Amino acid sequence: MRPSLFLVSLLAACSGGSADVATPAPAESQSAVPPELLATTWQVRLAVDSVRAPFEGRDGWIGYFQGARVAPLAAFAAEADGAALARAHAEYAALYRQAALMAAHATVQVYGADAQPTDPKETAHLLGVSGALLGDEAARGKLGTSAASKVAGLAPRDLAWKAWVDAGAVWPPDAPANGSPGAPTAPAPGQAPNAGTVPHYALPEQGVDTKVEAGDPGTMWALARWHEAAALAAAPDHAGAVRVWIDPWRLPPEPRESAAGVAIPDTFLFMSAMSTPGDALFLADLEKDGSAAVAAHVSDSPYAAVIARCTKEARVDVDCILDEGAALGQAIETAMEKAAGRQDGFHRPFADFARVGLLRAADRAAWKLDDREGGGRLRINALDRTTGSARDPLFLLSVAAWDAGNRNSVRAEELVHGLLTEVPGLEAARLPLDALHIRLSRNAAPGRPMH
Amino acid sequence: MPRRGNEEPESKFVGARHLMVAAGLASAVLSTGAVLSFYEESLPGTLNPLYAQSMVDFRSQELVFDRIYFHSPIDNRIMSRVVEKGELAEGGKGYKLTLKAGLKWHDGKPVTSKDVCFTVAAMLDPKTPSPMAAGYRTVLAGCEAQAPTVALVRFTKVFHNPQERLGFPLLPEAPFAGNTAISPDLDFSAHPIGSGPYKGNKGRRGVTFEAYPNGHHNASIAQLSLQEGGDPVVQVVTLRNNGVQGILAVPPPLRADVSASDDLQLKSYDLRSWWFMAVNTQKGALADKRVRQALNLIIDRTDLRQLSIGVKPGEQNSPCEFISGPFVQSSPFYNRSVATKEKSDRAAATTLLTSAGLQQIGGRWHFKGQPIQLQIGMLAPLDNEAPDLLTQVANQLGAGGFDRQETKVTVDDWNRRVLTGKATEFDILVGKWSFGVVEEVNDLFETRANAKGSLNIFNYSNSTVDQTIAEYNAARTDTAADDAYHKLHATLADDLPYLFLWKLDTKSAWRTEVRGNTISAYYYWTEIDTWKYGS
Repeated sequence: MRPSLFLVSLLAACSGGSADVATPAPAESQSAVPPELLATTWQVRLAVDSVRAPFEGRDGWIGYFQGARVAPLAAFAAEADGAALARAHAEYAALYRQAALMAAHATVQVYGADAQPTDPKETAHLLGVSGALLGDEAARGKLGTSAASKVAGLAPRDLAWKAWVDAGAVWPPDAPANGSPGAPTAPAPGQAPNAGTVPHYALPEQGVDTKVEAGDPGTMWALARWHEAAALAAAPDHAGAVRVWIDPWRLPPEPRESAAGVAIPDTFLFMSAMSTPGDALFLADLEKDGSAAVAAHVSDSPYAAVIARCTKEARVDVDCILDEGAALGQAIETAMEKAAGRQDGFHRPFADFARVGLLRAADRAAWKLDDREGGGRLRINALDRTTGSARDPLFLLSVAAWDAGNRNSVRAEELVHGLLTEVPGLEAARLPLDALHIRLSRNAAPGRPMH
Repeated sequence: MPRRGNEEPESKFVGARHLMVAAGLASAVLSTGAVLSFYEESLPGTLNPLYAQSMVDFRSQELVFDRIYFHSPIDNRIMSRVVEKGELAEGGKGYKLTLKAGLKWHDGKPVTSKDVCFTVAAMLDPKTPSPMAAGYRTVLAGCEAQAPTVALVRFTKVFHNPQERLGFPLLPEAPFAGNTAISPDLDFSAHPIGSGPYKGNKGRRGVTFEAYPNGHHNASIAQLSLQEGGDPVVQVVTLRNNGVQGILAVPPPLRADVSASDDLQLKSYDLRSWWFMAVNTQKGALADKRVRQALNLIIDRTDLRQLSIGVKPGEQNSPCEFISGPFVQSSPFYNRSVATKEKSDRAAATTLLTSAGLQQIGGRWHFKGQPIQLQIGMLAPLDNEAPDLLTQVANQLGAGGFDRQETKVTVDDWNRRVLTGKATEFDILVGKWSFGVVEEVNDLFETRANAKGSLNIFNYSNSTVDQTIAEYNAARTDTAADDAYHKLHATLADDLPYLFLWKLDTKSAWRTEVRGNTISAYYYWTEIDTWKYGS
């Protein structure tokens, strides 16, 4: 049975193909976002049946609405919708970047900060690759020290990464990563490869006869690049949109280009936390240009407009953002009703994408202002609102990566566990997180079960 | 009544909205000013942090006492509100704490290094029968007050992360007149003196927490009022009507309603909780493993979950996930090779029961010629999180051919009798265990002796289990510890002193007027100073 969602009221299945749509008349708004800008959100524009028709009744978007990501890939491939397929692959390219980040953070914490004398010697390789992915030169310096390892498959990987470092460590590190265990081969749009046989390595511990099961963080980077290539292969004309989509989620050492002038079609916005093309460009520019991007996008990004209003003395006011988030959601719902000429059950779930999207954008802006406390509070509030249709695997995994870096393994484990089905390669990235959790658990203050 | 084959499962939440409207009209009370009321799962049993047995105890104590070090709920940094400076001493086997100036107890007396050392001494005193303290006896070796604000805490060995070992609550010396043998039944348990953000008073119907301005705390909410939550539907209605401002645990079927309201906000509470049915392995037919395995097959967890928690079969991203052993599935300690039992298998159960010598007469199972009657109990507050679970369990066992009698066990009885292994009149007890980052289950399954197995409900004893727990305790590496717990999981899933049910996540609901309300993992109220309510 077809699940009920916004498609309850929808038209029969339409053919594939992406569309940009007309902007309806502005609606009245209690939000800080001007009505003209509000009317440019995908939520309001797609509230009109005829405008939404290209997205209706399609398994890929139904899957998205239900929080799935693997099934939509196959569905978009079957429909030969290159743009939608590129969007889905771009999302995976971002997901695996966050998986790499999480694995790298966890590795640095467990085998760096909390290293034990019994840890396998080859954890130096894992630390080295993690350092390369994080832009942590001290950790990266461990590369090459496992070149004589007898662990199956590990020495060649260590040598390859060391060669990349010796050649200047120029990004992207595709050459060493593509040989990682489980790394996928030629891009095949519509597929969602896993990380091969996990664990990638069985590393002997020192002074005991046990072995640590390990995954190579380089495989996560290889998967990210594989999906990026698949996205570009699926829709070469949308290369700019693919790049902008990935931009907020890039690893620290990755170079960034300007987002100026990039066209973002609705296919890249629909059921995402970005409400307008301006939001997408704003988030990309925020990573490249820092907080200056806020002022640059107040006229084309609802999020930038709100953040500008809620920023005082180089601090993002968390309560102001929460109030504006509620007001923005309500304003979008009202505008959707006005545009559609009626209330529909999907109006609120669609508006929820903006409610949480604003908080996520403000979180990023706060971090760019070096306001970690405010950013963290906004992130946690966004996490609380990432439910229902607005449950976004990419954001959830980014929180897990943040948690891993903060040694908060309990929440990270829970988030990752909930994503294993939709992000098949996570099985390998989970291993260092598991190791970190066990180590933290055994080194914590005494605790006992409570009823 | 047992449910028949073709009947559609019914939930207590059917018609919830209707009830909500009715109940809400009766219970709406407007609150004013900076007084915040909230529903807890139950009333706390004690406010003495040495004797917390429930998460309610634990959370309540977080409002009254300072822990020396704690983790930030934002970015997990280790922090302290009471320590100005901490430094390694004595080659790493000691840690010197310099207290901040101006710290006061709730009776106005200054917090000094003597209080720090009194707390350590109380935990080290074998006449303090505190399970929490027992854990710290393996970590702490002593304490020396070197100056009014300087204390040197000594450890049993060098720890690379000594601050992590100083997460215990600070106790005042004066109310105990220096007597380090602290018993659980003192007046202190109801009217404690702490140095935390709130002064707590436990009454018979609730607990009030009055803000206590201090050098290191300045809570903006003047008073917190803890009330015992009842019917969850009524709780949500009361929250909507601003009769209370928060609910600690909202059951899954009501979460969608809360989410749909702009006045309310669901908040995640990171806690590892799993539910179980403990089986009395000492009693009658249940001493035979095959009978326990049969019960495990009679229970239909999918139906139970749907009927009591409202999770439909195949539902994605369910807040309730089946487990096959004593860990949540997201934990690395969980043995992922041990399959969960999701549906019942009566035929296999019948085979097992018959092989164990039981006879089915008139549809009822008999042991040694007598019909088996199962005494089934459940920790009473669980009925709010999983309504009707006890009845549904009993119905399933009844449909499987067992007579049964149901009892809801009060929190007090659970603490006094169940946790101490004295509730042996029961055959099955339904409960829940919650954990933070430490997921040790040794106290639940190890043979009860010499302070071991202190939470072993039915005094279960299995030499393989004891040996495996010993392996865990002796493990030099994380891998060895993990391997031991995987083995323990597999052994328990076979021997079944517990029928493992599910993990259920916890979500709170707060009115949106409550701001800054970041919830700490496990401890919940760590950031209460930043909470705001009202103007």
